Formats: sequence, structure tokens, C-alpha cells
Amino acid sequence: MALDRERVRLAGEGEPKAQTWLVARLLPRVRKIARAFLRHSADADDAAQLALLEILRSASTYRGEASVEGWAKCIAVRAVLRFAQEERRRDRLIDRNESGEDETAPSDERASEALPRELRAYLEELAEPQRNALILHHALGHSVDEIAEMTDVSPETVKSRLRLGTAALRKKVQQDIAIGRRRSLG
Amino acid sequence: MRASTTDEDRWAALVSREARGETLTCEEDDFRRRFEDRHPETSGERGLWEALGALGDPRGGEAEMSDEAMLERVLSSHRAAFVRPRSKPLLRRSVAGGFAAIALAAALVLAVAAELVGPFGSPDPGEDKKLDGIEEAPKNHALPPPPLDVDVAVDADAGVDAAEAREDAQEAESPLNSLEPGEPKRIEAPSKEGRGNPASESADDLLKSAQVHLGEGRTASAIEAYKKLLARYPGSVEARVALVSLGQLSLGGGDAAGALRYFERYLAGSGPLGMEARLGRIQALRRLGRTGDELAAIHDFLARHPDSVHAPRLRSRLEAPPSK
Repeated sequence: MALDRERVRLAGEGEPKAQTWLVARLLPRVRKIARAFLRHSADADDAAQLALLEILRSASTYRGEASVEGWAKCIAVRAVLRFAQEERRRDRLIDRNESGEDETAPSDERASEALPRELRAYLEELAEPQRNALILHHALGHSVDEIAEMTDVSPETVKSRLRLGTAALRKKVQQDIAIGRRRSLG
Repeated sequence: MRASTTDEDRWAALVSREARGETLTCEEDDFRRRFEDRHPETSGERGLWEALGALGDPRGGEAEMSDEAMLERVLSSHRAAFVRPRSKPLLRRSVAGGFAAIALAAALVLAVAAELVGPFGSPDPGEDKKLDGIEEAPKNHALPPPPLDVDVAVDADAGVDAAEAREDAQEAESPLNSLEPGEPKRIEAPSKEGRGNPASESADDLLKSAQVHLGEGRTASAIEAYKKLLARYPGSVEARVALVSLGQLSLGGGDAAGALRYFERYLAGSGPLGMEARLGRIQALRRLGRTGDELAAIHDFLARHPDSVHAPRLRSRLEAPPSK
């Protein structure tokens, strides 16, 4: 921990090797966060870079009270959520999905094979706070308390969002499955 | 028998954990199996939680940047921005300017709200606010040139001699340079001395003044400052930036013909805002109903900026040209 703190401190001071170490160490986790929240690969890449840049800029604030990963993931999640929110706002303006720029990542397709529709289509239908809570919990494995800290709400609120989001997701999938069965019977 | 919500939630969490590649304990695995045996009705749901657990997995293919490339870009961009502030950003898209874009967007929302009647008159009410997916400033939503993209920064149509001018223009215009690390920084208005004595206003003062006006919702004042800049310092880098801003403001105000003139004046030379100007020109031609010219402009855009974020939408437009 002390060694990590020293390296992060050096990264914060602009030491190139320490910066390289910090980015290389966090890059897979940060990319996972970005991929989880963003459908388009280019957007996920951009969000990951944005988050890594923010981590580098914040390196001088690291006090070693948590692990480097724990400290960085809060920064990364917040940066990615801001990016995703901005992208959604922009998408609403340009109506991207109706203009042919729709991309489904191969891994998303594979993962959604067992579902009547692609997972992202279901997630899009949820309220944003519920969607974010579900992704943070199920896709990224964060606890309720961690999500509460990252999203600046109480743990009770996170629990409520997870409960409502889960119920809504289940209902939508079950409805689609039922419709699909009826279709196949018909 | 219907599963209890607690058990259902635990089961869902375990399925997504497995999908994330985590190993379950024996007790957890046993619980999951028993739950699935007791509640076969949840089998259809299993795919949901598996898919959710796998949402952050690498996507494969060429759509994603490699880890090595991302590492290099992040480090280069960080060092360029905070160690050598005059260097060009290296990100594929305008990530490095993202903070500034957000800060500017917040300021510009106020501008939009404040400006109900634009100085260019209202656009045709029947005219589409969107151009087949190309983001366009809505009526009176006058925006300054967006943060610079890399493919703009390395625009091949500019000569070596223009490199320094490009960097200067980026410095003047790019939000990246108006930021402190991690937090938006307000664009400072020109000094009071400068405001009190118009003759002493430099090109940079006028550009900043225009940006401040725009940020505070005074579109007409912004346009006036941009035009003053053009008139007083026609050969300056700042004036080149003003051409694109005026083009976008004209477009937002419904003056497509005026916008086209500004964009074409900019494109007659070279500079870092080539992509923005070409995009604006396409929008203006579309507004004017000059479909043939518009499609030619799209071809030109795609040849110069094949990796632009706008490229897929423009390609789709070429595949299905509008009847208009």
C-alpha cells in the first residue's frame, strides 16, 4: 500500500514511469466500466480515456486510505456516468439510433442470445438511476454501499433502485418470453 | 411455488457473478442449483442476469481500440495537456475536451434560454431541425465550434507552415486550453481597459469577448464581436475561428446562405476547424436544398475524415439520398 501510494504520488507529480504504471494497472478495470455503460465501442473507448485522464489528474489527491483500484473506480464510474449522460443527451438531439448508426457489440450479442431482445434494449427502457444501479451491481459487482458512494445517494435509495429496476427488467423479459411463446404457438 | 424476492435476488446476483468470471463458493453454487431446480420458471430469466454480468466484457473485433493504443493515447494526451500545453490532443475523438464541452454546454443552455429571437431571423418553421442525424444547433441555439477532434488536429490539408498557426488556433479555441485539470474554468472576459478602449482590443480579446457573450446568452453581442474581429484582423488565426463560429451561428439562426458563405470562406484556406466547417457546409447545403452539392460535400467530408463520429450517419445518407 505504501509503495502504491508513493507511485501514485509520483504519477501525480508527472513522473512518466509512474504515470505509465498507474494507467496500465487501471486500464482493464476502467475499460470494463466504460463498456458496461456504453453501447458503442468508440464511445466506450472515449469514456475510458476520459476516466483515465481524470484519474491521472486526480493522482495527487490519493492519500492511500483505500486501494488504488478502490480509489480509482469511484473516479472512473463518475467520469463514465457523466460521459454516458452527455452521450444520451446528444443522442436525443441527433436521434442516432434512427439514423443507422446502431452498433451491437459482438459480446453484447453473444450475451443476449438467450433473451428475446438485446439486453441493452431492455436497459434503455428503465429509468436512468435504476439502469445505472443494475449495471453497477450486476455488471461491475459493486455493493450497495459502494454504489451509494459513487452515485451520491443513500444505500436505501440504491436498494430501492435495484429493487424497482430488477422488477421492471424481469417483467419486460417475462412479457417478451410470453409473447414469443404465443407467437410460436400461433 | 413462487420464489421469494430475496432468494430470487440472490440467485440473480450469483448468476451475474458467474458471468463476470467469479467463482462461487460451494454454498453459493449449491443454493443456485437448488433454486433453479425448485423454480424452473426462472430459467428464461437466467440469460438476463448472465448478459448483465457480461456487459463489461471485451467486445473483440476491430471496433475497439487496443489496450496498448489507449495507454499511449491517454499518456500522450495527459502530458500534452498539462506538461506541454501547446501540443495537440491525441485522442481519437474530443475526449480531452469533454470537460470543457460540458462546461460550455451548461453556459450555452443559458444562452439558448435567453435568446428568443436571433439576429438572423427565424428559420423556416417547416424546416427540419435535424439533418439526417447530423447534429445541428436548433433555432437560436448558437454553439461555438465544438472541441477539436484529432482528425482535425492532424488535418492533412494544412501545410507545414500552417502548423504553428493551427496550434495557436487550437490554443485560442480549444476548450482543452481553458481548463484546469479536472474542473471547468470560465473563459475570462477581456480586461476592462480593453473593453473601455476598443482600439486596444486585440484579436484574442475580441475572440474571448465573443465567447463570453455567447456563454452568457448574448448571441447578438457575440456575433458583433466576431464580425468586429473579422473586420479588424481579417488575416488573424482568431478571425479564421470566427468564420466557423459565425457559420454555425448563422445556421442556428436560420440563415443557411450566410452560413454557407462563412464556411466556404474558412474552407478556402486551411486550418484546424476544417471538419467543423465541412460539416457546417453540408448542413447549409441541405438547408438550401442543394442536394447534388450536399452529396458531393459529403463525399469530400468522408474522404477527408473517414473516422469522424459523423461519418456513419453521412454514409447512410449517401446510401439513401433524400428526395428533397
